[in-house]
Amino acid sequence: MRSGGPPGRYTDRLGRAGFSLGRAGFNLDRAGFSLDWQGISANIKVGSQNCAENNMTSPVQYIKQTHDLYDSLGYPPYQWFKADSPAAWTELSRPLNQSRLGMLSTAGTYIAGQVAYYYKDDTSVRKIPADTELNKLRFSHVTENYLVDARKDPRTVFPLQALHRLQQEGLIGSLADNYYSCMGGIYSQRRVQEDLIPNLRTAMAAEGIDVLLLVPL
Amino acid sequence: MCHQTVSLIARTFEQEGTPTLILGSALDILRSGAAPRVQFLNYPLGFTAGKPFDPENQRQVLATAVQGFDQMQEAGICRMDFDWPEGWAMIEEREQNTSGTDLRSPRDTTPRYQTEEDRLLAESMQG
Repeated sequence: MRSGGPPGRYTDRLGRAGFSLGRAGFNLDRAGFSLDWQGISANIKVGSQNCAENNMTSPVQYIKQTHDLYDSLGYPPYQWFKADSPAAWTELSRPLNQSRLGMLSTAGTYIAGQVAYYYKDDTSVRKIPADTELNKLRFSHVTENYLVDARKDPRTVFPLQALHRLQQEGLIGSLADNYYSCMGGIYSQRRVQEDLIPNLRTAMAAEGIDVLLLVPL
Repeated sequence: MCHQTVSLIARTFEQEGTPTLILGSALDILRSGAAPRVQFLNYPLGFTAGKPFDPENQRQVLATAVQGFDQMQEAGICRMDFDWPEGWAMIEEREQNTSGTDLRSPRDTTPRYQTEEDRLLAESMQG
């Protein structure tokens, strides 16, 4: 649902159906809701956090889209990972501005000269020094259509420069010497658990990071 | 698939003692994955670290995201306050001709280089 515009049913430009309540009303989506009355937004908790909500583009339902696509192509439905227990929680031992931050990109990032990824459940890992020049970054991922812009501006999926700026500004204490990447388009959850995660653990062991930022494609 | 993979990785690393945070753009997959700290950026896939050729936006996205390490007190998903209707319109136009098709590349064990030059360089460096 959305507020604003004439009340009644609508179809947005991505073909998604919705319902508008007119000038005042709710934005309702699976992440929570916001109340917008004459431009005043309420802060609504999403999950357990207070986060500002406003009249945004509705989040795309990728699981449903994929299901419908596979169905139309005659593929069996994909069994997405659904957590059956709450996540573990590790408190930070020091604030971010005193922490060493590591970063993992699952966009299939590699440096020119490194072997690229393959697309059938590749569980290998690449080390990307934090001072790598942007023009040396490359990408290979099974969903290549999502790499069109990354291949022109790698920063859009690999935030090397932004992280450097934030460390210079003092928001982040320090950065790992090396970032890491893998090809996140792995369909076998078992291979992620049994191969990729041990590979990552080994690769990152010497970085001495306090916190890990993960950036999927 | 990436958003599922990072959820699995984050859950494991957190359990083993490293605080993690995902900056991601597929809300439904992230909800299913239930990683400890998630910052949701409602941009199209392929722009999760910000708009191309817009370093100020990229910096803002990352600054907002990593502040989750200090601000988030328990597991959940925080929706970041960024919206990019032009980005969605751009993607919609780009995908007009390909809706309903499987856009994934063939899945085999051949390394897929971004450029032919990369392939030659990597093969020469393998010796």
